[in-house]
Amino acid sequence: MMASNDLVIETKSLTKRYGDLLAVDDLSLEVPRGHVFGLLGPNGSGKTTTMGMLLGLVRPSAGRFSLFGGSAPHREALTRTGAIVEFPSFYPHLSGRDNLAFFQEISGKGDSVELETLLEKVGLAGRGKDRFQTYSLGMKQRLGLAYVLLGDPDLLILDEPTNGMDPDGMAEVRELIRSLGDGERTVLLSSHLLHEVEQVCDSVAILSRGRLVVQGRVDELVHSLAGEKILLRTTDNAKAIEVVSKLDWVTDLTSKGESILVSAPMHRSSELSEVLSQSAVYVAEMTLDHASLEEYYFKITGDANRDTA
Amino acid sequence: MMRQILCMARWEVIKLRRRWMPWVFLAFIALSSQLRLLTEYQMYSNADPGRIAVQAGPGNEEGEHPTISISCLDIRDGLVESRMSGIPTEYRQAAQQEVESLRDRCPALLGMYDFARNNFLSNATLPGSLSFGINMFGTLGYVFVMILAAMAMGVEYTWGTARQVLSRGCGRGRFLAAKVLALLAVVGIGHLVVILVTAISSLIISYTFAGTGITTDIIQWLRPGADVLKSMYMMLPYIILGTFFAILTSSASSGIVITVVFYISESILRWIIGSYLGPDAARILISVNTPLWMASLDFPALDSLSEIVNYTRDFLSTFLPILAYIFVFGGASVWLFKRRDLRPSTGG
Repeated sequence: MMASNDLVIETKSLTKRYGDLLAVDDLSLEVPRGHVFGLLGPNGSGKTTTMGMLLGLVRPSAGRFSLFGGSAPHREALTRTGAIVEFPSFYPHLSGRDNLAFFQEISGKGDSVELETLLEKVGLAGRGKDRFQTYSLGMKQRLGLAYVLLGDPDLLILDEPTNGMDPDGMAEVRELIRSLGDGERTVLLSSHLLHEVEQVCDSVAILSRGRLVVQGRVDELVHSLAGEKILLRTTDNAKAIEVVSKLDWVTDLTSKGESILVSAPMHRSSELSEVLSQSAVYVAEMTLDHASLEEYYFKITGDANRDTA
Repeated sequence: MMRQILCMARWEVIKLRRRWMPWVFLAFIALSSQLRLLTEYQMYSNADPGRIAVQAGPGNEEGEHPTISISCLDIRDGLVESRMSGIPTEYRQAAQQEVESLRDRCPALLGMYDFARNNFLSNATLPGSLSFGINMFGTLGYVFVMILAAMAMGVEYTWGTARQVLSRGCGRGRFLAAKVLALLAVVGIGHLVVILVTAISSLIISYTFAGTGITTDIIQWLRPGADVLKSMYMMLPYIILGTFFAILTSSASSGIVITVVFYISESILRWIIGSYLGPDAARILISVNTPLWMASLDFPALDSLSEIVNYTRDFLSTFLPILAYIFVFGGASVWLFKRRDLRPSTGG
């Protein structure tokens, strides 16, 4: 367990109920400083409501939360936070630049140089003086990113930041988020795009029906699923299957293209190689099978849904 | 805290300035104030100074004869003799008889004529015209102000910008305070524009009606200033009502609709309550109190204790109900705005 001052976001039994609907149920999260933290879950799993509670837009029904270790009042903590929940919302009759200037002034931080720098950074330098209502969806998202970076915040809360962007824009934003998460800054990100989260996030929390299913580092979670599988290519796959299937520590065996997927502990890989060579079957390639976050997500949310059904 | 409120209020004014609705409302009020001046002028020019046409010579073959117009103004100014000097002797006696019969009716006719003229001049020339223009806010402007307030608050929900403002650490109370302050400032600017337009018209009228010089009586010049303050105080409950309806419905369009419904309902209730329970019972309605408030406080000379008591009683009888509206609906707005979630629309 981490010390509280290492946690930028901490929730304890956070709950939100809308009448009979339990939007967030007893959620306890820990987001460490300097992490890019992904919030994953299907529609209606409580991601946006959780973000709303952290930002003081939604009153929790029960439980508590703290930002930056709770050392400062919530309003003060929010001045160190850049956030967009759901979609970027700006005044349509003001220009992109004026919208940023408004939010900059109410925060009391930054200057006009910062505005130009941010517009440049998100690729809107040439359109800053145009009205927000003339922007495309992708441009609105870009302005939203400039908005969250106003005042160089310590914490970013981003809800579906690449929504509506073209593939180039998505790649740029992923790169930007990754770079923002370097150092001490913390990023809380929700997304439906699992490969995006896998590329960008250090840690994730998976929510289902308002409940936390699992939380941890992305590499550890993926490894926990994939670590028991060895991908094998041999000189004689048919004979290899016959030999390996007799081993009692092999739990499963399937063909995967020109390879065989062996469910066995990785530390027995040398033993596996030896057994095969004794049967005159030689290993051409042996690798750890890489499961993706997507596979992990579907396995874990499927399990969670079965559990709650 | 004050810095943040003032900064937000300044931006609220900028945001309102870049929308068409405040400009349309302002143009409408400014034009209406000028139309009212025109109506006053029309009433004055239609006032009858007892004009008659007397026969001034023999008729022609078609039976038409020349006439001279004589009015009570000619009689009062002693111009009858000079105007009738060209009338041949044989017609003069008949003409004089007609003038004499007019002379008997002149006091009443001139009384009405002078009233219309004085009324026009006091409303159309400086400084009285300024108060006349400011009163437009009391008769028409408050509906616009309510709609404007509902729009200004409601769009924050409709566009989702309220969420974004509050998530930057701006307190909800500050957000509301800045809104009300900005709307008051916009109403103040509206007053200034109407004053300016009215002042220009008044100068033209003063020039046209030679001899109606501008008074140097300081008390008369103070009155428009006091009227602006009175009008601004009167606008405050309407700003708060419009804001309250927008918060209640979390929408600009619904807030505006409820505002208009409220205005119509009050007009009907005012009539019903006034008819069945008496005018005092109707004092619970804001629309009954505000015209009384605007009509009060005319710098009376307070020479005795009883006059001071009466003055204070009259002042409080309109001041307090308006204050009650401000506190009740202001409190309800703050309570509701602070308590309600700014819910994401997806429920995700």
